[in-house]
Amino acid sequence: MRSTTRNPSRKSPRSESARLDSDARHGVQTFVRLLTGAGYEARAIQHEVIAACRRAPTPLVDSPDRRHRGDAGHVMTLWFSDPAFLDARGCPRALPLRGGRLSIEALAQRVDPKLDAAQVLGYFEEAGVVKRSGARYVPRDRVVMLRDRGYLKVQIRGLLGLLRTLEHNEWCERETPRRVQLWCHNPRFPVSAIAPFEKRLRGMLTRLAVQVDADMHRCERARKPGERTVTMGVGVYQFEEDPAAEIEPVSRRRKAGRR
Amino acid sequence: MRGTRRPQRSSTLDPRAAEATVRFVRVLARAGCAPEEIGRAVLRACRTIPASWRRHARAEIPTVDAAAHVLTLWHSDPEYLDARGKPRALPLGEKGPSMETLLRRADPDLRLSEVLPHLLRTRAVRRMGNGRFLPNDRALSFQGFGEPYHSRGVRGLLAMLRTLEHNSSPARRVPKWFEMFALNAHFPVSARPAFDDRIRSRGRKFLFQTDADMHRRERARRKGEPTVPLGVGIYVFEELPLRSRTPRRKGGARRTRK
Repeated sequence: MRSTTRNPSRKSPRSESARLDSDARHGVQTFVRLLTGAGYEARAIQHEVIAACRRAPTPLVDSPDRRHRGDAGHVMTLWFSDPAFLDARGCPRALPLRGGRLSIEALAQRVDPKLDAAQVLGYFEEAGVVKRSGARYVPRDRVVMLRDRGYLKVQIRGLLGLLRTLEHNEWCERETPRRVQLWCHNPRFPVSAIAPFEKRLRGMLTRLAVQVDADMHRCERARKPGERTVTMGVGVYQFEEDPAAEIEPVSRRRKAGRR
Repeated sequence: MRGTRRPQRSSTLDPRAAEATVRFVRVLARAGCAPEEIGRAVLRACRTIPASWRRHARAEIPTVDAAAHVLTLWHSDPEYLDARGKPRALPLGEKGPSMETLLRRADPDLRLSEVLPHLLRTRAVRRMGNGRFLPNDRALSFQGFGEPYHSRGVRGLLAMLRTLEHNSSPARRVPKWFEMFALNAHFPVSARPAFDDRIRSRGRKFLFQTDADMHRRERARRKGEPTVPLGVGIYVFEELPLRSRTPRRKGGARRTRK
């Protein structure tokens, strides 16, 4: 019930937050290129988009802009990997919000001087990844899971990242290395086995993501002064497909019973 | 243009592309983008598409899927493994294990003539001197094989869009699907090739295990039990400004599957 009282501001969908930022515009361009590159008519894409726009939900313009809080996730990476913030057993130290070299504020400053420590803490508390111990805070989990719908603005970063990778891999020069994009798929996974499989998968993927995060952080720490850097991301996702969507044009498929 | 056999190009979107479009618009709208702005951006993007893109075919996704699943079965089904657990060399179609029987297991609705070319063209499978076939790799990779495989990108994108939409559902009772990304804003460019190699190696190992796990569940299912297509994806991305507004069409698409 929590997200249904947003109607008042829906009357002004053309407000600042409703405009496309450069990432979204780039995402749209890449999306169109992908479809046309895959053999679909630009006119058909336009028609479908116009129809989809008519039916689309009104943007949640009043939802808080949480896009930049994605960087706050890196605060947790530092908390779990920087020796200064680890105790003798290699566990993250309990930190106060502000003050001195060992605080959440100091961590946030290391990630981005514009990050507000109180906002970062609020973000961690919302995600349930810190617990309070007196005046200090201790992390419970290295992975920050975003469950609120408002965080779609953060999660969309992964989607735009995937679009960039697809675009790069399809149109880069022949000699340019492709970016890693791997997936596996099973067309007949029994529904009864989904829940235990997802539990195993979640554990394995979380471990994989933590390893990757630590690997990237080691590379960051080992860089030479003044060396050129980029924002690098690695995404992992699970998906389910609608069995009905597997149906392709009948003319290409054998009729049942012919074999 | 000369020639009478025009490659397949649809004036309407097939269900998969239509679904990807609808979901893409919905995800952007839910993330705060005004639908009319999305529509305008799409119109602008469509105008930048070069005319030369209007003439190429796309591979049929079921045949590519079946090719990938053939490799899974070949590497994991005891009937198709030798005493050392390696895939057996298979004849095209005889009694007992063959390419024909393998494909029938993967997708009984398809012909071998529709699927085998994908396996041979991508060098996932080689033909031996004695006429038998042997897999080179468990993964199906489309790197450098060009336009017919561009539709794979739509497939991967649609999978991600489904996950994002599913997870943004307001229903609390619906279990969320796993979706996560790790970001590093100061990754040194010089470390990228080695990092890519490590991720590729880890990712392949992880996905082979997952693929085998999923296949075991598929084999263990009860007769008539409801099933669903399920998958896992891993990708690396960079956040960099575009160097060129018009992408080049040199080089081929790469899709790695399995």
